[in-house]
Amino acid sequence: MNKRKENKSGKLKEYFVKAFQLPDDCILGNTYMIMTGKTGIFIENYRSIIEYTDSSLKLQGKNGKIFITGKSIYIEAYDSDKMKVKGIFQEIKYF
Amino acid sequence: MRRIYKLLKGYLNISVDSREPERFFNICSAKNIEIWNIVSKKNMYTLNIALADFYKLKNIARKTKSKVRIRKKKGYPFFVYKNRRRKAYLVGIAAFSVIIYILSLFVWDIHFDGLYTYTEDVLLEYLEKNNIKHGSMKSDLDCTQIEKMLRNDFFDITWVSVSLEGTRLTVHIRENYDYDIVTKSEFEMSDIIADKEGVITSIITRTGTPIVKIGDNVKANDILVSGNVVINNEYGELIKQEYGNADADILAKTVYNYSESLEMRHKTKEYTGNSKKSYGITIFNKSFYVFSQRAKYYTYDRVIEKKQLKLGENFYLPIYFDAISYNEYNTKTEKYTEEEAKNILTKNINDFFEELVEKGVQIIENNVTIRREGNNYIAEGDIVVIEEFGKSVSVEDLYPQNDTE
Repeated sequence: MNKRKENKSGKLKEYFVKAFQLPDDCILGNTYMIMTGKTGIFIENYRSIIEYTDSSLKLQGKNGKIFITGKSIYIEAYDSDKMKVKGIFQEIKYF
Repeated sequence: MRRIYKLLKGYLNISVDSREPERFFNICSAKNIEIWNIVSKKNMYTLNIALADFYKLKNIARKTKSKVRIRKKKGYPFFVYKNRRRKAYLVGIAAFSVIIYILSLFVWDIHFDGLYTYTEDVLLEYLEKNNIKHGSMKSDLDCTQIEKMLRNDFFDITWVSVSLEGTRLTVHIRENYDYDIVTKSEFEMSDIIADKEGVITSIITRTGTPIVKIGDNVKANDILVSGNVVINNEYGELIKQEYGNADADILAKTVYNYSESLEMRHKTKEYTGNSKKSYGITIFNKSFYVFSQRAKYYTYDRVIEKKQLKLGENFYLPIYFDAISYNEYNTKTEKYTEEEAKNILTKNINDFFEELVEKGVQIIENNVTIRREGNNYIAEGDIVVIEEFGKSVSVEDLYPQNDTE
């Protein structure tokens, strides 16, 4: 019941965003990523770190999880909703 | 900028060994603790954290069961702590800032802008006379005062702006390029007299009474134009008499005597090409030479090149770098041939003519001849020219006894 309601409100929100041409990353809570080649990613709108090693980084976004793999990944800076990651990236997955 | 701020506040490079590192990071971000440069290596994480935030980690570390170890301390607070016992260091820093402050109280550079006919040297000398020089106290200078002074003392400076920026005094100047020089006679009453012998060829009087006519032979000190103006009526009776400044353009034919002799035997320097160099420094009036080696030549020229050290643009310090070179030469006695002697003499005569022409003199006759007399060549003769004639003389100087009447 509850889930259906949420879905419905989600659809409504999407429709609303489309109709008024609003940026969907801030209202729908999609993660916003800027990649510079394969050596840098700037991530906005994430919620928390799930897992971090030097070859992989798992993040909890607001609408799903992001999985980044690569080599010698390190987090240059981060705060509660932004993150700057450096390293050599090989894959980005959503699941 | 941000990096400097971080260094100023101080930060730590720490290693975290934790079972739940992700939880550790998430809590940190939730509590607004800034962490950067996180690198993972075999379950160990090294990261940077601000010094102030480090104390907040205690609770988080306990919660996530992680061990925190400090690896490096960076930034100003640690630097101060480390050097707290070094008194000389602190004194040095203090002395440095004090010296910088004291030095900033003086003018170290004077710059001129917009100079056209005046040179920097003239103005520098003028300013120095008025106690404005390199090394003057800034607080002693009054820019508006300097502007006023410059405007008053240099009549063709039409606009001047003096500004003090840092330790630099800038003088902006606009000069008047096209002005008429109205020369005012320095006397109350004056006559024009001849300054040497000559024949008047033209006389145009502006004020005064002409006493000589065209074609008159005049001797030195003869009165040419009197400042006395007499006005008679038609019966020849005197109506009015005024003594003023005589003013006239007078041209006269005068004679210049030219004579020059040139000895046939003369000595010439023949440089052998041997030379030695030495270098030195002159501070105030004392010289220190680095390679003080005396030249062992019999006859030599000593050439000193001095280079003055200067600070900025115009601030010359009393320190010179000297480069001295000794050039050896042999003296040789030679004889001029007739042609050589003539060439030298004619060149000298022509130089003399050029000098005259530059003065505005018109040459109309040239009777200079070159002849040989014993061991000398002699150039001799008269040059007849037309030139501006006469000079203004105060009446009181001419007739000193008139004053006592």
